Amino acid sequence: MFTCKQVSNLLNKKNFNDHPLWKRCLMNLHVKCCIFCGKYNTQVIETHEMCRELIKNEEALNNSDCCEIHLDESNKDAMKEKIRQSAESAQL
Amino acid sequence: MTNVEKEKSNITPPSQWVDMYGDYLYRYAMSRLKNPETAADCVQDTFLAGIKALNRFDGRLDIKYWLRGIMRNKIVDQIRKSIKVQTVDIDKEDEALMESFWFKYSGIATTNPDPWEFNPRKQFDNKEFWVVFRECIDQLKEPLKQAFVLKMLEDQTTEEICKEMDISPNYLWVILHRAREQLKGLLSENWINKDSN
Repeated sequence: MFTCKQVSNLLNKKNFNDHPLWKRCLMNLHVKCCIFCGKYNTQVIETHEMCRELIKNEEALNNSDCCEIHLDESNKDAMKEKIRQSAESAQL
Repeated sequence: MTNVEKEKSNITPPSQWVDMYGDYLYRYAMSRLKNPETAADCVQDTFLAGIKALNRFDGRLDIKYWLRGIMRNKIVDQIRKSIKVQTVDIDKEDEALMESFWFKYSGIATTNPDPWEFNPRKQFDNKEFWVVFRECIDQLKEPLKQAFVLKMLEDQTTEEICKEMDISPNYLWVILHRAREQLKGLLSENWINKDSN
């Protein structure tokens, strides 16, 4: 069984999901039982899980054409020109 | 012709990159960097670096994701540059937190954080939630946002972030703690208000 400090250090070192399964199980067990760090470290783990889910969902968000965020046309034209020049000098 | 060679011969030419991947990469950059100009510069630098490195592209990955990989490094560089311009102030409250008994004994700041006003795990299948979550990360104050993005989304190690921000691991811990608290407040406010509207 891990101590509070060990759980905190492990969560500080790496995101929860990057730890091996046995460590995740022991950490989960600790935070479910611990009256000292349980509430706190449960929220840390939840944030780690939310970030992991965000990364999974980002692909759909960034591909979505309905998203209002996009490059403006003047930026695109300037980029195309730079790419053309760069490709020419790289002889592509 | 091997499969890899076939893939390489089918790649999108650089002249079409802006139209095909420009908006996708820009949205990715904007999710990490607040500034539209910096994000656009990042996309442009990515395309130029992509042209230079194109002969090293092995065709195993879709070129879109290969370009995204290049851009992730550019984003981390941009965040590092912006960190060097800003200095991280350690205020008295933070010092007191690091000196507290609980922090020294157990590595936790408090035993009773405020509970979530809603269950975030129940929102994982809701696409709108991720839009709000991303907006909330955007609203985090600097340098909390920088540290949070580097650590949680770009998988930088504690050592790398501490070196770039010129802070101790304990202080990084305090920054991440504050970022999580701020994020929780912003999410509760924005997500619950969105539901009630």
